Amino acid sequence: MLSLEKARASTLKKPFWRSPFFRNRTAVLGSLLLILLGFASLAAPWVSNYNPVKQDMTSSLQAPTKTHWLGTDKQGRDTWSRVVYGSRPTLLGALFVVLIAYLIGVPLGLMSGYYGGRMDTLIMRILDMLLAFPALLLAILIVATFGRGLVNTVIALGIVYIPAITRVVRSATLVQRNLNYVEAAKGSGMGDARILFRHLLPNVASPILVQGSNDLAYAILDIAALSFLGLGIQPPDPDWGSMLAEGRSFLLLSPYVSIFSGLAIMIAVIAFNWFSDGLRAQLDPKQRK
Amino acid sequence: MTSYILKRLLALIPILIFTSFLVSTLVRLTPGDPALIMVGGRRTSPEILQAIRHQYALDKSVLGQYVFWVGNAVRGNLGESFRLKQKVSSLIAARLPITMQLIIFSGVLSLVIALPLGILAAVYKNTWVDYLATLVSLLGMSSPVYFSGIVFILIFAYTLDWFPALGAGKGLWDRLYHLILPSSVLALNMAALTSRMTRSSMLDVFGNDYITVAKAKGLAWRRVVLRHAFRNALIPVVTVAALQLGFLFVGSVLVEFTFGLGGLGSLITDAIQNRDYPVVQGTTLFLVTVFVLLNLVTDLLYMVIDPRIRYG
Repeated sequence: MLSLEKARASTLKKPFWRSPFFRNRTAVLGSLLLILLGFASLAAPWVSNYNPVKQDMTSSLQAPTKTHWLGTDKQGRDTWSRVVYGSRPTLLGALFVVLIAYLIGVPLGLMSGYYGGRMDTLIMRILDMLLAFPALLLAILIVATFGRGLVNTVIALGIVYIPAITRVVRSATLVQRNLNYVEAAKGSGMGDARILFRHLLPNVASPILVQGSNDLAYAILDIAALSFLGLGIQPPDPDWGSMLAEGRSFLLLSPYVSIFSGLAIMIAVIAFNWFSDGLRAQLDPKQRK
Repeated sequence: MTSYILKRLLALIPILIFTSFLVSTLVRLTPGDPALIMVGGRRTSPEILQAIRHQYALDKSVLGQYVFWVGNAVRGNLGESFRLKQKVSSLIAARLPITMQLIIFSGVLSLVIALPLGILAAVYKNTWVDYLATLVSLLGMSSPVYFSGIVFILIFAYTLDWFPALGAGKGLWDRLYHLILPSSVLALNMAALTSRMTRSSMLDVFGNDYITVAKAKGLAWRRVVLRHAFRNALIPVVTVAALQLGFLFVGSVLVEFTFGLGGLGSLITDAIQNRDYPVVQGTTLFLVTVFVLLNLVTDLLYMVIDPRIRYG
């Protein structure tokens, strides 16, 4: 009896390092990269060795050296320090894009899937119209209307990201709403709000987490794209997208600013993608073999 | 099928109304007086400004301006650019070829890269071919087009001097020559996802009985892969490729900016910078219409690929 319980416990609760996530090498590598990125942006003043906006015309356009690890830009600003500080608006911005989109999109998806009928039709029709827009084009229009800058960029992208997560939550809710526990909750006289957020939400959390980590990668790409077009973060504050655009003007003389800021974007995107793949392997029962 | 197409075309109408209303409202909310931009800093009087505002219906309410604009738009008149003093429709017509060529070239190129790569990766699963395909798609997926564009310019234009870095060229061959780098950048980015999808879709199909039967009756492996497996693996691939169309539109804006191509993308970004309302409205509406129509075309393509699919 005791051994049976032990056996059952061991199949149910594997040690965490034997879970699908930790057995996935790229997922672990991605998480390590994310921890490094998070640390670098939090500890930017200690990780960097120069003031990211301080100009020094005597050391303009240097190649990587012992003092300037990744070289300098036209105004002699240290590229390593700018890449480190530039992670802050990009990563934090991406986090807020997903936060805004999910605070609106998740409840909409829950309601759409749970109530069905007219509510569902109304919500999905409106969101389908948003989907008719090529996403970044809509974001460009919104930012152009309300003014450039990080805050407006984040809000615009947040709006653009709503339809996708709403669809994900809606289809997950459609599966859950006919299950017994929802029926039981209804039967016991529970209010709709409580059923939606206390009972349905935890059961559709997996796809939300997977989609969320994936959306973070896209949000980084889109924030950088808007900054690259000159709509996002404004100079002299460093940020990966605008550094990439600045580096274009002296690409022939010294390509390092563009290259290193672009590599920073790539590394962040790869890290989130790997993390997201691992999360999917962990949470999606269909993927388990 | 005809009724399905008609239904889909009718569904276009509310989308276009919503789009045009959203765009025109957004555009009117933009700070800055277009009448002042039109006179371009020259000495002026309140009367002249008033006359300009009246001529372009800028003195009407937001709703009034919208009705004015839509009334003209349905007659094919998208208005006149404040800054360039040209008809928006002729501006679009002048810029359209570059963007269309870029989009078609990149779309074809991405399939030419992605389909063989995906099929080979599936056939030679877990060999170096597969790993190479994985690496290519990882790079394509994580590197934004504006970064790959700069890297390509550095390598293929500045260092190797094989292709021009900027501009769109004149004449057919010169244009194609100028479009090779920008199109490769867009194509690689799209091929990343499409090749992955082709690989997993092919692997799914390989597991079916009819593949075993085809192999067992002694058909050449090449024929089994291309005729039996590939055709059946195509539906999810088309879905992904169609989803990528939206990306092509947005990606073309970024790539046109990176490579200094004067297409529709740069028309929009320039117009936004200069608060040229009619150009922003007209071009955006045009792009959205084309985008929605292309989505319809891909839906119809499903029927050609898989005759089992019928729409009511």
